[in-house]
Amino acid sequence: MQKHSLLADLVDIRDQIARDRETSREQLQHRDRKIGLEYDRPLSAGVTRLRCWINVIRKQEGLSSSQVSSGIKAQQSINIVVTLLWLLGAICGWILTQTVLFYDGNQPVNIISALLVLVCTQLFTLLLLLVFSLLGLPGVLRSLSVFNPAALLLGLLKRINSDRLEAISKLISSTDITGTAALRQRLIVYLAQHFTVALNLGIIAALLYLVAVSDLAFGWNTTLDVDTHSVARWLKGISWPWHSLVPAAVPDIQLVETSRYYRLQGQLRNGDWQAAQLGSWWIYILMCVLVYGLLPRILALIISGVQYDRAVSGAMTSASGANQILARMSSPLVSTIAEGEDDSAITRNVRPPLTKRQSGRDLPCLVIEWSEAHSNTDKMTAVGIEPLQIFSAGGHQTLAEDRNIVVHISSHNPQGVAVVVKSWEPPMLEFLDFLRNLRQRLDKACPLIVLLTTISGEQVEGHQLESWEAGLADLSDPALYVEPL
Amino acid sequence: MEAQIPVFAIVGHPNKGKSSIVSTLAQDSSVSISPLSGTTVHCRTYPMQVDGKELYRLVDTPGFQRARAAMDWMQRHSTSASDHVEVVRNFVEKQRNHQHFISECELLTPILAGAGILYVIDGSIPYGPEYDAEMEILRWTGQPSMALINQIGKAEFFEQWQQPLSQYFKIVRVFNAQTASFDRQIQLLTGFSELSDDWHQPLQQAADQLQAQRRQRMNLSARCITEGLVNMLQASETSNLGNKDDQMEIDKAAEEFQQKLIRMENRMRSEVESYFNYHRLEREEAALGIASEDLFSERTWKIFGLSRDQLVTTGMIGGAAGGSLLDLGSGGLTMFLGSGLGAIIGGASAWFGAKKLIGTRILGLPMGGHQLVVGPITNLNFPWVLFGRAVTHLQLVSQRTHAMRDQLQIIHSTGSDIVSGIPSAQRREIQRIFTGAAKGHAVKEEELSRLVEVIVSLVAKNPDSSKRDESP
Ligand SMILES: Nc1nc2c(ncn2[C@@H]2O[C@H](COP(=O)(O)OP(=O)(O)O)[C@@H](O)[C@H]2O)c(=O)[nH]1
Ligand SMILES: [Mg+2]
Repeated sequence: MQKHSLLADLVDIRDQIARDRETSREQLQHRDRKIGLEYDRPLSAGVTRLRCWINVIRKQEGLSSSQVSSGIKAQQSINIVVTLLWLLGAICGWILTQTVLFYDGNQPVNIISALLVLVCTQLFTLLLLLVFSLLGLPGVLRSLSVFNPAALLLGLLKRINSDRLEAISKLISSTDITGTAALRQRLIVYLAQHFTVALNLGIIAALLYLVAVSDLAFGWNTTLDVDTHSVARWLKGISWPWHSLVPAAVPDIQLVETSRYYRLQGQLRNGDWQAAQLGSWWIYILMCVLVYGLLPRILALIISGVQYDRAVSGAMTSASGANQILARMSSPLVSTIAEGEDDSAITRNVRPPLTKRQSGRDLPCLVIEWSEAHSNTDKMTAVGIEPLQIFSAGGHQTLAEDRNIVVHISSHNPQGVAVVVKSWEPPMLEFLDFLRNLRQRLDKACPLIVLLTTISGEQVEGHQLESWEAGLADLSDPALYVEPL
Repeated sequence: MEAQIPVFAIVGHPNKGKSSIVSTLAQDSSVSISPLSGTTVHCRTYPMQVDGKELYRLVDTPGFQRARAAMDWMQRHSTSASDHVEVVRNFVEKQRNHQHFISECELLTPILAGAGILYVIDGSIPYGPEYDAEMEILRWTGQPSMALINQIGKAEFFEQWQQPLSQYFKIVRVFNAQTASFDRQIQLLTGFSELSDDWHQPLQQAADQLQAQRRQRMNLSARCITEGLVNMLQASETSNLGNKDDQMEIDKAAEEFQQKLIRMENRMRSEVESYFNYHRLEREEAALGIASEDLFSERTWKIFGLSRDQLVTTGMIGGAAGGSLLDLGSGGLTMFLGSGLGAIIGGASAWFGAKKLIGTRILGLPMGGHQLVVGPITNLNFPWVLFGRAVTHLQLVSQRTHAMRDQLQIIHSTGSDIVSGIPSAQRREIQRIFTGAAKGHAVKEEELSRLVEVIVSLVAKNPDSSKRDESP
């Protein structure tokens, strides 16, 4: 499987999490559990598992689109920035050295200022970085980043805002709980180390170049009343780290003394001293740059690189949604929902609704109590029905008994038939069969009134009445009525 | 036949809550439930699977429609008590292609294939003779069976049902389709193993998995709330301002910022719901209607937030004052606008007496012009309001069943106990996390997990809505 950088993975994971918001949870669970079962090692670190996940996802997505992911783009733009910083650093180092070591043959190059510019400033900024990252003052660090070449370059590139840089500028400017602010700091510090390592290499290259193609003479002076011996001690002290390794780069008192020059005289004290000997200072300067410039910066580059990686990993595991991905991969896919689409329900044919019965004089009716529903004479009279005789059907009766009742009732040629039913039970097809049989034997115009009783004489509920009306409408019987009792 | 996984056919009279019970047990809101009878005409299967391996399945069936006629047919074709299963089998075979007994054939098919019978009745209406034919037919199938008493209405006719049910069923259980707690659901599920010894193991395994899934849902929801909360605390909206005294633009930006927060909160709600399999849940939450109580109204503050006293005792007011001084000191360009940011902000800040509920800052741009920054909200009560609302929502969602089809009503008065019920040491700890987040500090992973823990325990602590005795 192709390996990508941590940063590329981070950006792509965040992107994928954002894209996943459009996908249903079931689909995500299926996808990630499948990845989990196939590739995941649940015991390994979260970062490893997330990277494994995004690699599989990239492969799956890659099948459908051959685009470069924004994570890879982000890494590419970081690489561009790093390259630019290397170039910039090397050029700066070169120019700086050329300026500081400018020797026109008249006045020797001042060793003290050369050391100050080439080594001390670097040491100072390194010290600042160290102090602030130890004390953890991101606010101060942030305001200092105005002077940070990496931050400046990033800021500049953000303004250009090309497609390629979008991912990274999003990453840098995004405010998220996941500590991207910390990541941003780490990135800038890390990038800055590239610059300074290149700067040191530029200095060294320029120094070597100058030594090779020109005749450098070094010297030092001061207006202050300084003892040459103490200056020599200082310079020697500085060279302590390499005194046994490169003895040639340790200045002795004689050299220091000879190198002192006085402006008024416009020349070195011992004018006859060989220029070649004065030139031997360059090894000293070279060693200073190597030991106090390049070496610490390489260390800083390594350390800040580790910290940067750690920040990226941290941002990865704490990205909102990362937790859910790990959970989806490692926990069994439990599914309880229906398989397939819901085709269980019928779509009811819309029938013309039942008509309302004309309320007028009392209608003499034969009454059937369906399934032991209780009729109530008073209430029936109240709704304009005069019960003549009461029969039972449904319930414990057999179908044959039901048929006999139908025959019996129709033989009376009734003016109307009322069927009392339980409002709390739904109209069953069995009951509709019964009504259909009844109608077949009765006159077409003979009113057939279904009366809904309630459990203890309360009002029939609206949805129950509706349910009965809808059920009975299926019979399309113009003389069929439903009424609460 | 494939491996012996338990299958349960949920059968009964129409409209007694068969589909509702299935909906709750299968946590599936797509089940059609309707007060009109005969809504279900075909069986629908709900397999319970763990990583694709089926542990049991539920089958929702249409209700009996012509039970008496079917029984009549069977009695006419039976010669002795020993041929009952055979007769039922013949019945299904003969009638399958006729419309007349379509429901009966549909519901008997899974039973004849070996499903256990769960016979559902409604205990809120009286027993009647129309049930006898159904129960008799089920007995004829010879399959293991259990009666479930659902309760649709308020009335209780449980006593009346005991006698007829016990004639046909060895086991009778009460199970309220809509209000059954998760524990009750698991209890019912494992109880199904009484139907057959072979089913004990897969059902127990299924119960374990469902419980693990629920724990995870709680955790993920709490995590979602935690992350959403921190995001809302850190939210701010930056826009360019032509004229730095343009009150209309400032009001507009404040309004937009508020809308942004509302959207963030809604997204959080939907995500929590989706963990519990609710995908298109209608939600009514008092605060978010523009006209009604909104996030910034006084009432909500009082309900969810800590009182001024509580805040003082939490020791956070002093800290915050120091913090804002720091803020002022560090931003030389920063200017606080505080007043006159529209009625909404005015109303809320009036109660708290704070001038900067939503901090707005106007920054001078190097290229000229001004930038308006609205937010983050620094009011100390704001995180507590969000927190209380989110926990209440999670409680309601986690206690809801899929048989409920009404809106999710979030009633805020219940929330006040949530926040004030937290022990003060813990409250201080949470407040620290909130304050840090509002200041834009990255929240540590440990802090996030701590909040998740607190939320989960708060939701677990809440007394279950259906703790009444449900034994028959
Ligand atoms: N209040 C309440 N209503 C219920 C309950 N169970 C079912 N219902 C209602 O009863 C009606 C019929 O339910 P449904 O599940 O479709 O019954 P089925 O025909 O047996 O599948 C629907 O309107 C449900 O909302 C319950 O436990 N409580
Ligand atoms: Mg149904």
